[in-house]
Amino acid sequence: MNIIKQNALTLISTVEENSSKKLSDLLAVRKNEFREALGKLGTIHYARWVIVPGETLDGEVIPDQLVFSSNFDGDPDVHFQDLVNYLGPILDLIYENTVGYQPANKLDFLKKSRIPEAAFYQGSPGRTVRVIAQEKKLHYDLADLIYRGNWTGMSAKQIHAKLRETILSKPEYSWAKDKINTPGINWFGLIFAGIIILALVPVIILWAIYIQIFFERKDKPLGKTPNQLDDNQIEKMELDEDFHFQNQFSQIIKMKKGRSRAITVNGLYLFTRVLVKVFFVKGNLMGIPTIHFARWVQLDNKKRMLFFSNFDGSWTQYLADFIDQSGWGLTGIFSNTDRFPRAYFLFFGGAYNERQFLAWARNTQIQTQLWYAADLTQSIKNINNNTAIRNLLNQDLSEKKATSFLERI
Amino acid sequence: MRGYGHLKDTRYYLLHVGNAVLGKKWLDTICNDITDGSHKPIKTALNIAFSHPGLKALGMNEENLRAFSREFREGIDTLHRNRLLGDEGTSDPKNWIFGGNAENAQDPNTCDENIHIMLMAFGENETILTEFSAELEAGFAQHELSIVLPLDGKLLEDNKIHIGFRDGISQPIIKGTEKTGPKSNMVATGEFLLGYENEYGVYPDTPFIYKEQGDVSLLPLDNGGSGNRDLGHNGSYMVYRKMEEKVDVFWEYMNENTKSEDGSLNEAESIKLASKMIGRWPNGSPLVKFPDAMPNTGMTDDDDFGYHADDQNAQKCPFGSHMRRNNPRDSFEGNSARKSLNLTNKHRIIRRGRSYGEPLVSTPTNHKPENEIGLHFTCFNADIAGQYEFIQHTWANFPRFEQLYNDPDPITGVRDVAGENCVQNFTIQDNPINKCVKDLKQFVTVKGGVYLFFPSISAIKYISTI
Repeated sequence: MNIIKQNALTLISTVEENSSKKLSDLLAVRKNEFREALGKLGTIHYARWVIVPGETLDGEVIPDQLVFSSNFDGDPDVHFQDLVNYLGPILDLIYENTVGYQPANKLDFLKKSRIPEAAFYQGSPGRTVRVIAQEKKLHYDLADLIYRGNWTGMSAKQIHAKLRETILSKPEYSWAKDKINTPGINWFGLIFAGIIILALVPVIILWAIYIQIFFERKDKPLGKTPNQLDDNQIEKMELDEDFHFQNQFSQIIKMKKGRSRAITVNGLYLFTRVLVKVFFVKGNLMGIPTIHFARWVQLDNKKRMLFFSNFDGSWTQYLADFIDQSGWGLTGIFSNTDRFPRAYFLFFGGAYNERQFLAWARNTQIQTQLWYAADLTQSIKNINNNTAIRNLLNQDLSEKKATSFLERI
Repeated sequence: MRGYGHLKDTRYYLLHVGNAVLGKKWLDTICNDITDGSHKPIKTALNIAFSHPGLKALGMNEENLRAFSREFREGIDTLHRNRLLGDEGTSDPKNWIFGGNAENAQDPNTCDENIHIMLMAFGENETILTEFSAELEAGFAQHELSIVLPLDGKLLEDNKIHIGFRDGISQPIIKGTEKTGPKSNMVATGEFLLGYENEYGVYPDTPFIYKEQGDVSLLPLDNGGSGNRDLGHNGSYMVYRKMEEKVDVFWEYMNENTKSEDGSLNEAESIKLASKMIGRWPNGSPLVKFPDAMPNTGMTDDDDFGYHADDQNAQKCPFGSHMRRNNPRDSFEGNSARKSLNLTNKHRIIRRGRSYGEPLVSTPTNHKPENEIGLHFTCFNADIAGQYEFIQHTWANFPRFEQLYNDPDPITGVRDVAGENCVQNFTIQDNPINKCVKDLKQFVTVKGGVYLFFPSISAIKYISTI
């Protein structure tokens, strides 16, 4: 079965002056209705509307901006059309609060407001919303069959064969006869990238030294610990957290000034994009097994960065995971942002200063006015496990493989 | 922070400070009786902890109150925290007998604002404790300290708790103390004591004195070099929760799910199912070493094992078992043994428990107490959010822990929320197929809780001078 790709869409519009509160209230009050509409498309995994607070940067006044982000299946053009078709009147309600919106030209307006992502990570590439739901049911039905059945005296191979026969004889499971080809690790690409990186190591080292001498030492980190942040601000964030063992995170971060910093971060975005494509395709981003979708977006002439994430577990756990597993990667990218804990030679220090990093992260977090998720009941591990089960079902398996198949259920 | 294993009887007092001046006078006198960590007490022991409202009642000023961690300042009963800790349904603070916030507390006298001090008295036996308590209570009366709630407890036979299992076995060993044990259990001092480096190599948030009051010379300077006086130095944060153990529900569930084909009780299988849920046999033997039957060796505190080498697929000790998921040790998220330990040791707590109610150690055939019985659960950590709350939310309550789908911790993670369609199972990894027991019932109900600051003796002395 051919893969339908998951893609990212990021739209940005300027909020009409003095309309932010009205917009925020609208999204709060009619949250459920809007979520229902987003659900009707059947192709959106996660989506959000976020009002990114404006600020004055280098003398320039940046107004409040409305960002829409969706993680969806298939062709972006089809997605644009779907948004217009399924959300038409809702789009009017929302976007009449933004500059330049004309209800008669919705499609054009949306397309014009699209901006690219600097990097985009998916925890379960190749699985559409529909496939995820199908494989979820498959896992449930298999577990149920196992629970209710009598398997005494049967080997793993025999049990697998019986399950295969039972499930595939049902017409609603005809789709399960085919394997789904999920992206594999692109070893060739990885090796190629590896060779290039190795070749660049002397450059990277020199660059890191350069950054340390001329920039890092002059940095002004936020220098706070989580306890020193504004209580009200945190309370506001927590109002929306931890309802389902899945959460989302929106961050707006100022970039450090200067071409050197810009070059560094662009280099790292490229590095991330490549790795995400060739290596991090198995539901694991640098050792973190809890992220469903995440993206980095450059805003305001690259003066600011947006980071959106949808993940399993709590905020504390998510960030703790990040430090533990990919502190150096985090530091590499985010040390180019304002007030980040002091880094050394690009990859050291920084996020490893756990207290300061947690405070920095919370401090740059902004409220997400509306968050939509297609399915809050499964972790990324569950989703990928279900796919593995599906792919093993309609196959002749050895006793060993059958055992391993049954371990997953 | 010692367990005082030889002092069998305990009485915890939740106290209200009626008069700040008198309260501090009392602290000044009691200070000398507080048991410190350096020697083993003989007949009695005394420890003390303070809530945030308690420090305020004693006269700590706003700036210094603000220096404490947010969890401690907010208290255990907030809407967000209820979700994190699973304090919902029958464990909702609305049903607590103490510690709920002003809105939730059934009796305003027992709300969190009114619980100021927790004084913990230990005695070698009941007689000695009664005598000790009388002395203490005389002191309360003289200093306008009222008893919000006295909480009696004891160590049951064989260090078991009411549900019938030996408890408190696995404890992290604080690096830098004279205790010895398995190396994998050695954890950085700063995970439990403020003023020392933690497993990340940084100093945990500790309450400094920002606005001078009292005799600050009693406090050491911040080890982190900020120049501030560190009120938290050598202290810790303490969590206390009163937890009812519904032993009848527990054993009835086990019996029902393991009964023979003719419907009769299968005691061995019932105990086995319970042990699979806990991770150890009733005598403390870990499932990892004895997966099929409890060894006849008597009580044990064997804590020298890991999962990585012998039980990666959890066929001996299930992934969802209470012991394994509250401390995954060297087998965590598919990481190497070394990395796993490195990660899991960042989320450890030191637990101290005392049982309350009639001294019933229940079994499949004897599990009908006359009144409520349970556990006074206390634990120590330097970072409540990153340790206690993390373990409870991310490991215990999380039904999708590791590769599970609908499996909360069968002992402490099951929700009892009427009307909600909640799938709560326990999966036993096995060969060739996994076994599942469904419809978990809530065996433990939270009856009250409080977040406390557990200061060093110098800090207690200091508080008496503010």
